[in-house]
Formats: sequence, C-alpha cells, structure tokens
Amino acid sequence: MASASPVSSALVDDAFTIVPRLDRPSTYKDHQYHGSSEQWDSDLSKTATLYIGNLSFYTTEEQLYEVFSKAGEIKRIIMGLARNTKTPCGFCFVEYYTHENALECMKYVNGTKLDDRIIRTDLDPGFREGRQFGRGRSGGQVRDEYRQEYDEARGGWGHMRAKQEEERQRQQDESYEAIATVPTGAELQINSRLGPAASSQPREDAY
Amino acid sequence: YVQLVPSPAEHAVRRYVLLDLIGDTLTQLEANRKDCARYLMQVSWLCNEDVCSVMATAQHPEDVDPETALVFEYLVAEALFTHLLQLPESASREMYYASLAIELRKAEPKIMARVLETAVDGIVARAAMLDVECINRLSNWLAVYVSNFAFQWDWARWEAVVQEPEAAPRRSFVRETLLKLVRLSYLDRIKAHVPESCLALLPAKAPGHNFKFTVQAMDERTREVSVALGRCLKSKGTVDQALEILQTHYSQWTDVDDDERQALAREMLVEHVLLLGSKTFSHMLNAIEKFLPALQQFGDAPEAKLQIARTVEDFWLRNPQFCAITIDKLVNYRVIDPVTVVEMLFDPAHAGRWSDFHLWEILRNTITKVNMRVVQLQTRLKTARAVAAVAVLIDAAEQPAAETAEHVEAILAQMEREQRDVVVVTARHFVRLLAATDGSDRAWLLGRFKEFMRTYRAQVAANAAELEGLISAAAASPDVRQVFDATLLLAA
Repeated sequence: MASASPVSSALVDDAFTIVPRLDRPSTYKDHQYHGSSEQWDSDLSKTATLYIGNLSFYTTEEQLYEVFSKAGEIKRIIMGLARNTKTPCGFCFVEYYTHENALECMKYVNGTKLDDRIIRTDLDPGFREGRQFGRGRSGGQVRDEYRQEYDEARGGWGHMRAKQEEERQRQQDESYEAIATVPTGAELQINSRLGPAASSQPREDAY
Repeated sequence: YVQLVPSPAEHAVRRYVLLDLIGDTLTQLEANRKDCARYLMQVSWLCNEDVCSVMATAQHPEDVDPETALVFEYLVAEALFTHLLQLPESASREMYYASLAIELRKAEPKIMARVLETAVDGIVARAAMLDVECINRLSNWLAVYVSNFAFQWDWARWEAVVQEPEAAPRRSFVRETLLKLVRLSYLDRIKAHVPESCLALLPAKAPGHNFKFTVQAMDERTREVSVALGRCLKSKGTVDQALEILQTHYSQWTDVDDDERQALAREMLVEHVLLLGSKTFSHMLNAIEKFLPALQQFGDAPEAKLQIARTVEDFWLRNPQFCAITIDKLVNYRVIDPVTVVEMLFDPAHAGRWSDFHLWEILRNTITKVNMRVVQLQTRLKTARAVAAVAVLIDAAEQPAAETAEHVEAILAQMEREQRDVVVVTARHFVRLLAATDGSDRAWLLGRFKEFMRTYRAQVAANAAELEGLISAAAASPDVRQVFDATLLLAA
C-alpha cells in the first residue's frame, strides 16, 4: 500500500539498473497510435489504463475483476472483441483511477496466471472507441492469425494453420483409399552367426 | 516475527539477523519480484556454512531438521508471512506477497512448495488466535497462490473444519478461500478439486441472480406491470417509456397511498434494470448508465436510496461479487450514498453473518473510495488555486479559473461531510451491534471494528470528540473503549 521509500529506490532504479523495475512499459508500440514518440512516452507515464493479453476466450469479466481489483479500484474493464462475431477474443483493457494502481498491476499481476494462463499486462495510452476490436484478418487478434500451435482456450488452431489443416483434410478425403488388408512384411534371412530372426509366428504373449 | 517451525534457542540472535536481512531484501526489491525471488534464494550464500542449513543445497532436504539448526527456506517463509500479516498495514500491497511467493516456488519448486504449505498450515492451525484482518489477508493470499498452480491444494488436511460451527475462524477461512477460488475460476472446477468431505463448504449452485418477479411469485396486477416493463426494456425502450408504464399502472392501484406506490415502482424498476444488466459487468454498467436519470429520480431521499440498495442486495443474494460491484457502481454514479451502503450492511438481517467476508469487503471499499475522492479533490483544489493565483498575476480578468477553485471547494466540502458521516455512522453501528451481540459473531464484529478503526484512524482521530460521545452514550463495553483509545494512540 505504501510506496517505496527513497532509500529503496536507489537499489531498484533506472540510473543503476542493478535490478530493473517491473513497472515500466514494454517495447510494444501501437502502430495505429496518433501521435509522436514523445507523446506516446508522455501518455504512458500518466496512464491508468492497461492492456491485458493472452487471455482465454472464455475468461469472464468477473474473473478479471477479481484479479485486477487486487491492484486497486477498477474504473472499468473493456473486453476485447472479435470484429465480426463481437465475442471475446482474448484481450481486454483495465482502467484504474490512478497511475500508481496501474504501476502496481505491472509489478504484481503481470506474469501471474488467470484461468491457468500466464497473462501479460502492459501500460496503455488510453482506450479509444474502436480499439476494443481485434485487428486480425479473420476478426480476432493478429497473433491468432499466424499462430502455429494448437490453443484450446483461443479457438484451437490459429486461422492460417486452421486453413492448412482444412486443406490437408480435403486432400486426404480426395485422394485416400482405404487399406483392405494388412501386409505381412518380407521374410528376412539373418546371418547365422547372429542367430535366427524373431520367429515369424506371433508370440502368445504379444498383443 | 511469525514463527513457523521450531528453531534452536541458542540461535535466536542469528535468526533475528537473518530474518532482518531477508526482510530488507523483500522491501528493497519490491519493484521486481522475480529478481527478488532469485536474490532471496541466494541470500544464504552471504553467510558462512555453519550459520544455517539450506534445503536447496542439502544432500537430503527431507532430513534437514529445524530443531537443530536454522533452516533458510523456512526463514524466508517466516519473513514473507510476517510482512504480509503486519498490522496495521503491510509494507506493500497484499498482492505483492502472493506474487512473490509464486516466484519463490517457481525458483525452487519442490522445496518452496512444501515450505509454503507447512507455513500456511501452521498459521491456519492458530486461526482462533489470529486477528480477523490477518485471516482475511491469508485467505486472499492462498486463493491467488493456489490459482497459479493449477488449483492444486490438499484440502483434505482441513476436512475437520466441516464439523466446526459455521462461524468458527478456521472453517470461515477455508470456506471464504474456496469462494474466492470459485470467483477466480468457476464452481464446477473447484468442486472437482475438493474432496467429498469438504463439499459442504461450497455453495450448491453456481452464483446467479434472484429476480423477484418470476411468473409464479406474483399476483395478477403485479404481473401486468412486470411483463409490460420487461417487454419495454427488452425492446430497447426509452427511459421515459419505462417511467410512463410505471406511472400508468401504479396510478391505478387506488388501495395504496402515494409513498407506497413510489416504493413499488422503485422496486419494480430497479429489479428490471438489474435483470437487463445481469449478463456481465459491462451489461450492468450499460443498464445503469441508460437508466441513470430514472434511478436518480427514484433515489430522492435516504429511505429511497436504502430501498434501492436493499433491492440490489436481494437480487444478487447468491452472487456477492456482482452485488459488491453493483453497489460500488451505484455509489460512483451517485444513485446511492456511501452512508446508504453502511446502513444496508448493518441491517438487522445480517446479524450472525459477519463471518462472511464480503460484508466487510463492501464496507472497506466504500470508505476507501470516499477517502480517495477527498484526496483527489484536495489535489484538484490545489491545482485550481495555483492556476487562479497565476491568473491573478497575469490578468485580473481571468475569472473562470477563480470560479473553478470555488467550485472545487464546494464539492470538497460536500465530500468531507460525507467522509465524516460515513465514519461516524459506521462507528455508531458497530458500537450498537457490539453491545447487542454475543458469541462467535461478536468476535467477528469486534475484529472488523478493530480493522475499521485501524485502517481509518486518521478519520477517527479527526472525529474523536464525536466518537467519544457516541461510545460513552452507548455505555460501550471495555473492549470497545480499548479499541478506540488504542486507535487514537496509533493515529498520533
């Protein structure tokens, strides 16, 4: 609750970087942000808004409130939605009343788990209408467009990969022919020094 | 310092020094919990080998015996929990100690998992002796900790609590922690992780709303209004249309007087607005914002506001989280006052329920909010005055800035009045209830009263005279007086 004393900040400080502080913005810069680099930095230094990423599609606002209220009183939470379906697509904005609360969120909540997923928080210049929608081609977030891993909580395959899987399925449907009989495999003569090959009769204790 | 494991008496000084060292590290590196955890695991390297045993580097960690030598990892846990449970306030926000513990376990998985488990066990075993606030903090801590490790926890070790009375400290701790875990995930998930023996501690059904005007429960004319209003809201009708429906219907009820009619209309509207916004918090905010003028109109007097607050509580009886947030937002939008919330919480119907944590949560959030508003306004006033002062220097015709300062002053005065009221009314209710209750519920009440006085001691001191009068007038019992006197000393 109390902020760090002046003595402690000497140890954890930009000038010394003995231990880098966690309540700093990441290197991400929103390419749709209207303003100069200085404006961006200035906004981030006063903001009470955070971007939250890597959420499950099924994480509810109740769960978000429960976790994020631990860093301060929440003004509001804006769920990130897919552009077409308007369903949650795995990110949100959390607005506190003070910049200090946002910094404490970065220090204590960023990197912990929500819904069994490690969530990422980042200082955000502020919500504007339209920013609540995903910017990927399929309507969700860009990262879900190109994701190659299967993520059950984020719609399964990434969109590109899903199309590839569909394509493979189609090819298999078109060109595959069922295998009617199981091949027996060729009989092999083994060098007599090494002993006979494993019996071609099935063993009784094999399945 | 919290003592979790026995330690050799001859090493008491060493123990203190090590705890101090560890405690300093916790405080200094608060801005980076990950590096803090790493450094903490390395603090033992600063000492000679014979100072303490370190489980992380021991050949057989299970054989390390705390009775013969200090054990470093246990000292880390002791320092962490001491800091977390420190009164009146912990040095940093509670969440820091939860996320730091998570990092510690990630740094040294097997060892710290066992150490932290033992630590929690040890503290919970003494739950009856702990301050209520400490039980609350530990519960918050444990919920976050467990939720970060796939919700795995051996609940069976506490299955004996089911035999205890509902308001017993240990049972309440376990129950409330489980409820918090349900909030962090969902009921079925937690049910799956809890052994049969402990299922009695969880609610039977998932949280939902408690809409009053379900088809079965109404008489004919109530049903008419409800259906008409419901249809209007569903088809995105305007506020005026809704108000008109209420007006037309209730004006026909000739057997009730005006006040009664208002009360019925108020309840009907609030119930339907809550239903409209019952899906998610965003829906609820939208519903409140849309019907704000109507709600404010209906909340014209303290009794009216209290009725609104009580309707909200009734509607969300089975979902305390939603209730708390709705009340919170209604205070923000000034539909109800902070004092209304206090009156609602100390409703006689809550007698015997003060072992539920959410009552205190709502109270604390409300008073903290009021204090924060006052602080914010004071800052605004300072800026406004500074602007006005500069304006006077530049140009005498700079009127708007001066008006702003006066305007802010007026709001600030109102906020400060609210702040005073909230503190005094809360104190009055506590004193009254403490005189009228006994048994385990009184223990919880007294604990919350202590926490209330401790946390808001600045406001208590500011209103000392009035509170003094209150306490004497109520002929309060000695423990109440003790708390009050101790608070004044603490605030000095």
